[in-house]
Amino acid sequence: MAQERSDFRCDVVVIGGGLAGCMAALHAQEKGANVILVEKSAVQRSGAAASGLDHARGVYPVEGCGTADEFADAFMRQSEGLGNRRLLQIIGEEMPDRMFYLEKYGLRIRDDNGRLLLQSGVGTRHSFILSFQGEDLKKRFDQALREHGVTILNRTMPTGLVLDGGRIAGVGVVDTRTAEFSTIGCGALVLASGGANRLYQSATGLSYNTVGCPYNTGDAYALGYQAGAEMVHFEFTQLMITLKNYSVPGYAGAIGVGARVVNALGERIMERYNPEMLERAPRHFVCLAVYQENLEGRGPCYFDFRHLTQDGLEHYRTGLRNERALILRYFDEKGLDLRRDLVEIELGELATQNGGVTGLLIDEEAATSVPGLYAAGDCAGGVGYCAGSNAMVFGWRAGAGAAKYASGLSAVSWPAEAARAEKLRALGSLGKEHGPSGRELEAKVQKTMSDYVGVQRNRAGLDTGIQRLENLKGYLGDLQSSSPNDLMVALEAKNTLLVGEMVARASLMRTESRWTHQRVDYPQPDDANWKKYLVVTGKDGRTVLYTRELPA
Amino acid sequence: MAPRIDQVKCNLCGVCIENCPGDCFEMGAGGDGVLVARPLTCWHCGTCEVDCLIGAIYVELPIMMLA
Ligand SMILES: Cc1cc2nc3c(=O)[nH]c(=O)nc-3n(C[C@H](O)[C@H](O)[C@H](O)COP(=O)(O)OP(=O)(O)OC[C@H]3O[C@@H](n4cnc5c(N)ncnc54)[C@H](O)[C@@H]3O)c2cc1C
Ligand code: SF4
Ligand code: SF4
Repeated sequence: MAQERSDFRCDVVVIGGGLAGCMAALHAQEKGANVILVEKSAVQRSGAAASGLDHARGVYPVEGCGTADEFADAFMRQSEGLGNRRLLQIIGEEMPDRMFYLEKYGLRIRDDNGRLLLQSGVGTRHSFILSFQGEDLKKRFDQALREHGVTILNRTMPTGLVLDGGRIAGVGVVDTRTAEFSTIGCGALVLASGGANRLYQSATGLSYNTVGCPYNTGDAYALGYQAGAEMVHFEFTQLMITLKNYSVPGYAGAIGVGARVVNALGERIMERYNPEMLERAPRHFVCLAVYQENLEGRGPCYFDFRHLTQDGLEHYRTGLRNERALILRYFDEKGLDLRRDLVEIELGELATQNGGVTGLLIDEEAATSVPGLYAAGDCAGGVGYCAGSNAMVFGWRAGAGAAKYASGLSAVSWPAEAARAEKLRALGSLGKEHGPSGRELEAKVQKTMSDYVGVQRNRAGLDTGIQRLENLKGYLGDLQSSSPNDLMVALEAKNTLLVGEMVARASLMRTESRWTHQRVDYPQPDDANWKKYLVVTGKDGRTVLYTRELPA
Repeated sequence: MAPRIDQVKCNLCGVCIENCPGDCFEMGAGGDGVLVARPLTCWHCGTCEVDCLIGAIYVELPIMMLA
């Protein structure tokens, strides 16, 4: 079943064709590099933005928008001060140009009168949020990539890296439909394959109905680990509020138009937890408030839209149409009339925190700590929460950085011996008669994470969780897959296990409570010891953790 | 649950197979038409329904979501 495909060579390989990877590939090609884009799904409908975006953060040339300084302050606050102020400022400053660039490819970023429209923000006093019609964003990217002549390998995922004297020299990849294995030699590599979204049992019980894109399974973190890149914020898992039994990130849109969050007693819960900012407090406050209300027996909680004007409701619906039109079907089929009914919500499954929080540390060029390795988007970390804008701005910068790095180097083919060894390692589970499947492994990782590394953590639970995850590593050599699709799931599950371990170990080490990391045995923040990055990386196959000062 | 294909309307253009981020669809062997081969890996993103130009796909919300 598994066949040899071919050896590719190029200047820059981009792993992941989402918002960050598309920007990286386009700009690297514009800078003269020869680019191969490796995408697990298919670019025109892949990743978190598959069904579209409806808003983009930035400092737009519109009255009422704040300054780049205010932008950086606002998103630092949303990230509990654990971000990189300079990088956030760059996002604010450069995002309008990324939107104008996409406008040239047909993205509709203005209203019928040609104006840019800002909506009110969540967690910020100024509005930095442009509303636009982005339901076909990924198709616009696909078109631009083709016009640029970027080589796209859809339905393909990486298996492992090859390093040459400490720099990245290539990557092994496998076709997820045929299990053909290929090698790519490169001058530089950009990781842009998003976060890890199948790490916990899903809130809805449907394992692929997750808030974040379920096909992003921490593969970039696994490659970063192999390369020994410095990564941060694995303990700050993502909290998100979703609609009851339909996991979608509809939170920003609902709060943006002024929805309130109420409990079973009809109380506006944020009056208890943050009376000053109410629902406009940073998202994790509201999520933890919902968690607490349920814990104390005042759940379920609801979105209340009943006080909104017709215009407000229409604005909300328009946003949904641009981002996830199926939510309207959910309302209709449940017979929910937002003018009359409360909409039940729940805490979504945890995941690594997307948008520039959990992941590989990057500098202004999107360079990681490993020469020739760049990262952008949801797999880049320590930047601060800035969602799609982080991805597009630093994707673009990663493209430029990688093209520059690769320009003096000539990519070489993999040595035959190394290629054979990598193929054997990656495809070893195929065709085995017995053994646990990738699905089984994944289910056990998810159960372990949900049981022991959930919203509230303590030492005993984390120790137990880590022990279980260590036990699971013992089964990796036995995994069995019976089809190319199965093989993909097995490769994903291995990466999910590794990421689970990184989350659990980081959660054990950070002995304080802050942001989304809540330790019941250390309930207070401890600035003296912990206003820091906690770096996680791999060294000779072992997980290493240490702290590092935050950027000035 | 998940996507449902109207086999009478479907013209076998293959767009859903090409686009679905979860690789849920497959061309059936021997004239079976397009199959929803992996319904359990559906994210419920809804894009197959938007992309099928002749309206042969309907994404059905499962009872897990609706009941
Ligand atoms: C439904 C939804 C709506 C959102 N709406 C907004 C919004 O309106 N505004 C906003 O700013 N942000 C929004 N976000 C967040 C935003 O979409 C993400 O922050 C952004 O897409 C991150 O970009 P990325 O390129 O890092 O990841 P993605 O866009 O998710 O791209 C990652 C890509 O990598 C691919 N991939 C995964 N694993 C592999 C692998 N092993 N090999 C190869 N390829 C791989 C994936 O298929 C995907 O194409 C939304 C998120 C969701 C889920
Ligand atoms: S996109 Fe529609 S018409 Fe085309 S193969 Fe799929 S179901 Fe059939
Ligand atoms: S809803 Fe999305 S994931 Fe599900 S089959 Fe359609 S395109 Fe694929």
